[in-house]
Amino acid sequence: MEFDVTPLEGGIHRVHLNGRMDSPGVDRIELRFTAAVVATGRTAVVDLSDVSFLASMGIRLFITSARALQGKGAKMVLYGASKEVQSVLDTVALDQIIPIAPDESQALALLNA
Amino acid sequence: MDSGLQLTLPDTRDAVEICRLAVKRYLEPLGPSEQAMFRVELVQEECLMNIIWHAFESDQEHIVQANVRVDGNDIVLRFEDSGRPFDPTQAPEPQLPTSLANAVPGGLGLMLVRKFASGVAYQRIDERNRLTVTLPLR
Repeated sequence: MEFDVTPLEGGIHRVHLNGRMDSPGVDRIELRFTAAVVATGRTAVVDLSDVSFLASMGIRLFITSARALQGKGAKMVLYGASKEVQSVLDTVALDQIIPIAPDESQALALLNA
Repeated sequence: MDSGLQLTLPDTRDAVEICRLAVKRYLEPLGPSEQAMFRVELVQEECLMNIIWHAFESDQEHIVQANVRVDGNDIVLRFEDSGRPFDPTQAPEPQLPTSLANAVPGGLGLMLVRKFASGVAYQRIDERNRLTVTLPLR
């Protein structure tokens, strides 16, 4: 599991996740993710298109990160999930608390909604 | 009937990856669909993490037995531990959060197991938990 952060216009960060968001994968990135994404307090659009697997440990990371960003006055939007990853997001109704979009342009549009 | 793959795992988080790779090697020649493999990996991760986090009170290392076999068109996963009794089929569904502020990330794993498995059965036998989860092979 890896990720990289790209600055976009308007002070927004694009966070590209790559790999399996299972327990070993989340263990590998959690501290760095928190430092690079949450600690900055920047609104983030998170690209899931290269996430091949998602378990509850990954959902936990999304919830804790989005909540911390909200506390700093920023937002997090997820986008680009595969069919299988989307089925996990749907099962736990994550879109009720974190906006989820099909692609980056719609993710950015949700930030302005 | 094939007795399947038998694994003896530690009750540590290392068990998740050990189990995943072994189950993948066992199932792939049997032609599971991509969706089936995703679901098997999800269910085994959530079941193992639940045992690792909740089954044992002491810090001593304990053993978790896992068995995976194919029965007709089904994949059957069985997990056994000697931890405190816990019947996940009787556990209440977690309340889904309505806002980030009241979101509690616990309980989601069990919800995922129930959703993605076609069957979940629990037995307490000889002071051991036995959880059997069935999923379609294709």
